[in-house]
Amino acid sequence: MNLGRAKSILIIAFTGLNIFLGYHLFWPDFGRLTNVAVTAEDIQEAETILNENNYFLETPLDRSVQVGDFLTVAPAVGFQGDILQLFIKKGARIVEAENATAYKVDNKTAYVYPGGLIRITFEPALEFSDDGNELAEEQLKDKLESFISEELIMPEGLVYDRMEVTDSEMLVLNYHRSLEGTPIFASNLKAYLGSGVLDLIEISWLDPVERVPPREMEVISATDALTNLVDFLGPSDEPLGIKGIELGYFSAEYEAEKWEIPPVWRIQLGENIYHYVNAFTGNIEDDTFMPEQLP
Amino acid sequence: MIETIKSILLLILVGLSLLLTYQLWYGQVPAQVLEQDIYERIVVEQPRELERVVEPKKIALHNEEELYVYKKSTPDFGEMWGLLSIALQQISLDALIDEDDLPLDSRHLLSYYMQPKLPVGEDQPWLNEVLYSEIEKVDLYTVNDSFRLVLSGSNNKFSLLLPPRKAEQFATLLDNIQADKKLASAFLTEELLADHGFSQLSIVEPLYVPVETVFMSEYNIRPETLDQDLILKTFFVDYSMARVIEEKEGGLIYTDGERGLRLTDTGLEYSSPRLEEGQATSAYSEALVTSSSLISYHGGWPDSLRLKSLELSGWGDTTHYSAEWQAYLDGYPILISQSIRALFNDNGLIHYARSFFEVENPIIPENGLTSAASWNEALEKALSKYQEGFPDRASSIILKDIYLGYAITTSQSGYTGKPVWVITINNEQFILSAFELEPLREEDLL
Repeated sequence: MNLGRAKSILIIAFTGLNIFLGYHLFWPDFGRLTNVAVTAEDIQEAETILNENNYFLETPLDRSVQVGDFLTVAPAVGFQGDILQLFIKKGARIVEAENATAYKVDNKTAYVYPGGLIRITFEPALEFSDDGNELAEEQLKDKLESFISEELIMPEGLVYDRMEVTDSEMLVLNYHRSLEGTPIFASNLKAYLGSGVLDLIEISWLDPVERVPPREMEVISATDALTNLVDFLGPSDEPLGIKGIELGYFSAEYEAEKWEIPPVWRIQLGENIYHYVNAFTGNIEDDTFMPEQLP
Repeated sequence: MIETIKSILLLILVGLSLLLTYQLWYGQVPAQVLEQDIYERIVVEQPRELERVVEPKKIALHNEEELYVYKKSTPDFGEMWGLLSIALQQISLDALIDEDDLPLDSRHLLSYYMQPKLPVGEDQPWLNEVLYSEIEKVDLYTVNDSFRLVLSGSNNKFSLLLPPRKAEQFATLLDNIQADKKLASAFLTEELLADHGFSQLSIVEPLYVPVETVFMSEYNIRPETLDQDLILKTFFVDYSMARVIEEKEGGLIYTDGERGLRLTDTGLEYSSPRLEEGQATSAYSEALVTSSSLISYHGGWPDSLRLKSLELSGWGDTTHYSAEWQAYLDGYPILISQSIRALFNDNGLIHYARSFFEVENPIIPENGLTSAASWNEALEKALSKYQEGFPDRASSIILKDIYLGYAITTSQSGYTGKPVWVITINNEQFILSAFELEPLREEDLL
């Protein structure tokens, strides 16, 4: 055996040894290199837990590794002012209202609340049907959007979310704000319709102030969010489908100057139940409690 | 040429294998060490030991015909309590005496009103050879030449004979009490009330009122300065997960979705409501120690603060301990709507509020200190206010509390500690300025 052949054998042997050592050194992070946060085993494990608790996964899961950051938001004071200006230009007069400033013109009254909420009521309610025939969801959505852009002001970044039916048989068209494709669930517009008429539009609009890049972190996986939610809710009395899981921003509403909101996994259970799981901590964000006894 | 490349490649591979082997052997940090690195170490105040957690609400000194009352932060209060506390820690079972009744020639020297109750007995620092009980009052008597302690709980009472050395220490202490700092008081009885024209009032708890003229002054005070960064770290293990809400009034709220911490100019408030669903199974004395840990950890336990109460309460299947602290200035309690308070159970800290003020300097008028109105003038004013407010409740009027204190008021120039009379009739509290006896406006009170 000459020296050249010996070198070749040693090169092969050391390459193999280095692969072996590298595997043992880095294998827990191999998943990260392929950008997959949720493996097939993870999904299977999560499904087992869900099924044991009477929840059933009916939506595909995003398996990629995702990062998130806190988003600083503030009540959309500018938008609120624009709406008021519009009412004033149309000759609105100020009417008495509890905890709000109210402007009335024709059949529309805009109630403006200190926290940034605007409620626009219609008396009599606005006809929202096709010659007495009920409109389909898509038609209602188109009609509402044209009404908002013609009669009110279209909020920036408005994206249609869903339609739901309340216990009192009202239809609610839900919109939220989108920031570079990421939904801000806490910034929303809701239109309440009953029997072919538009009764009320509620706008709780937030302006994104800044993203907080130094605090960008990897978010928990969708499977972790699901198992956390099931752990929080406990077993379901009847089989409940998990219809959707989506990453966005959400927090409870605060009467504050500005605040940071975390990335959340919004999980849809059945047709109308939505829960928000903090995508950093895994905590459920549905009913944040704020201490407020100090002066 | 190929041989040279092979040699270089082989050298690189050998070097890499050595590096990887080294990394694999020495370079990996165990998971638990990593975890410690993530959670930052913080330095906080050392919690008080149980011996220093409980202090009496007041101590009454009986001297011949006169009576003097001592409260936290008055001279000699610490020495009086310290001597009794050490005596109870050192006395053995031999000191127990069977005689329940005191001889007629016994003389009452001191009364210690224990609030919160003093745990004595097995595993406690005090009287660890007797059966466990919780003591509400300790009285010191002199009988002939000996000193006798009578300890009373809600269901039990027992006497101890002080060893001669301890008796001597008490005698020395009583001789050395600073005469000029003493303020003569009276034990309020229904007879004394009737003598002053308050025959419609009854009393359910031991109350003392000053019978000498009391000179007091207003104080400039300011909220304590807390290290907000440290406070944040004590409530959120990984505070990078906490987000900030800026209130319109200037307060800051930190929350991670499960717990919230609110910081304002005058204090802080923390809530973790999901922990409410739990039980408080720890014993009373363990809860006393926990309360000490909580206040020390979350801002510290200033010297002028006394643990006022520790109670077990709850609703439904849930129970929790509620601890409350009281601040004192010159022996007078400082009134504040949000005192320092902690609610906790086996799950942890449910709620914590802290608002503590530091004294800057007294505001002494040019013509010197002002005298406070007498107790009977204050009571007359409070009673008339009560009768104005509740004309239909003329019968069964109970005087529940009467004392001088300081109320914290706010004005444009800052915070002031104002001398006040605090009088509780039935469940109505009246706060009157100690000098003019004018009711303090609620909006001025903090």
